[in-house]
Amino acid sequence: MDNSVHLALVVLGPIIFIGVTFIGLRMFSYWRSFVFRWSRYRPSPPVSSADLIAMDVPFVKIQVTTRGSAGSTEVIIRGINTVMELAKEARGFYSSFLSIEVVTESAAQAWPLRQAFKDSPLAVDVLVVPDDYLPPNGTRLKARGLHYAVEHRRNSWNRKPGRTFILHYDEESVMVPAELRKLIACLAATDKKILEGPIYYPLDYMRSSALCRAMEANRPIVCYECRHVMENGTPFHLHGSNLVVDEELENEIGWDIGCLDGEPFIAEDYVFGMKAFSKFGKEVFGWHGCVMLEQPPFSVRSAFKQRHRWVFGVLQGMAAMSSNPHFVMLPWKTRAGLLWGTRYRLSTFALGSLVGVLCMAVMPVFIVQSIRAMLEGGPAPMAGPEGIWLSVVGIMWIGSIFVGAWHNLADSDLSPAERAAEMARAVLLAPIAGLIESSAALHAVIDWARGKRHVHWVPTPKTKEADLESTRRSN
Amino acid sequence: MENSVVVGGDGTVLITAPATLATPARKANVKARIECLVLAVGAFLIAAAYIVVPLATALYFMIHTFFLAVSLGVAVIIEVALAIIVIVQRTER
Repeated sequence: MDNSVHLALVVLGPIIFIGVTFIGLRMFSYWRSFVFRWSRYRPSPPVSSADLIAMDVPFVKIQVTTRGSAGSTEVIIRGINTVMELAKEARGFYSSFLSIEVVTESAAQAWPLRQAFKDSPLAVDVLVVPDDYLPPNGTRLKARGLHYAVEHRRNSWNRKPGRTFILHYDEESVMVPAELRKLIACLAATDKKILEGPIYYPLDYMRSSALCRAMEANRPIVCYECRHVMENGTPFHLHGSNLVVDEELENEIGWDIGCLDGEPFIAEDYVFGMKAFSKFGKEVFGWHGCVMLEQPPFSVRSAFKQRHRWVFGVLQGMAAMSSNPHFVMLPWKTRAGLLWGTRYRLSTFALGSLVGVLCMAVMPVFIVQSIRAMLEGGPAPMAGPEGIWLSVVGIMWIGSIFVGAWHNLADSDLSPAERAAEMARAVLLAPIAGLIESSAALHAVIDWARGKRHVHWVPTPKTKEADLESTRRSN
Repeated sequence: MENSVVVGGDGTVLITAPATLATPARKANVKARIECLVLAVGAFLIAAAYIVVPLATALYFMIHTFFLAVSLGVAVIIEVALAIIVIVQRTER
């Protein structure tokens, strides 16, 4: 028995060590940004409405793009209500430059939205994408709606007489007034044309399953690295919400991204970022650092599908960019850096499931042998510098859950004891939650490698009821 | 106790006035504290498995004192956690 355990450790130990190192180096990139550049992460000081009135503020259009599926109307109204809270601070001032546009695929959604905001301080325009609308390149899914809005703007729809930014919201996005004020102040001063900020996930937090909450705790630490890549102008992962784009640039690029092998793109944000980089270079990218709030998926099934969609979408985007005429004109080193950088990120995400399973299998033996070696003497596995490296990776991994849970809970209405319990729960569930989400990534990579190309745009359900209904339908 | 401002689940700003705890609320409070304690112990065990054990083992084979190696391992976790908390708090505003 002892011999077989020893043999297993001898064989699996180095494999796990290599896998952990591969993933640990990726973690190191966002921890470097967290530890050494945290002061650049949230650069804007608090701003009041009076401060803004004294500035030369640009026009800002908040655009919510939705498929109009069940539950989306409620969460869109929630997000717009928070913008209205800001507008009430100085109605005349905010209505002079701030407006809201909802682009929906559902004609039925237009009426309740118009009714909800008919007497509100800000104009809310609802644009319904006709069923038969098809952009010139045959773009479908979310990019179809985004391009429909671009075509309208190119034809002077809601045109403003000056520099205009579009702040992209997902259906459930919320920005509290303090963050919106900071964002407007940042946009008044910036010369960048594509900016992003962090996203945390406190909304409807406790209605989501505990495993989903633990999975969402993995996400905010990545925002620190997002800051780094946006300031460096290498768009490894542009996300479609909390994305601010100069209207002129968005009109020029458009969202008519076409299809790949006859299948639509599901990561239109990644493709948009790569197109912008290929055409305008890294100087257009920037970081505004103002927080957007969103919500976790309600069920593990929804979270799994969401992660699968991200990875599959990026694989689609990379394949498409390889044949993009602007992209192939870039220097070889730049192209290789972008493509291999993205491949490395995806492979660490997918590899997490294999390394996680092996770690769980070996961990009990590893712990027992290590403690026995310390108490009784004798050899111990990973007893040299490699043990220190493993613990450093452990610190980075569990630390990222801790940081993510902290940020997600900071804006939730939980008591200190509940908040501490939630953070501990996220750490406790981290091995299982990490395994589930990296399995989704691995599943997407395997699907892609097997030649699967068919995709659906099924947005993550935005209410518990819609999530249950979606699960019932698929069963 | 002062009133506190929180952002509610619907994204609106709420002002919550603390009230004197009635018996069911007290029970819920005690239950939350016990749950918090149990979860904290569980989280510490996970951190011990993935951080303290490999670190303490590596340190033990350098300094050859079990108690010192484990103490240093635990101290490192606490130090790192405090450093992370300081940075996170500074990026909250």
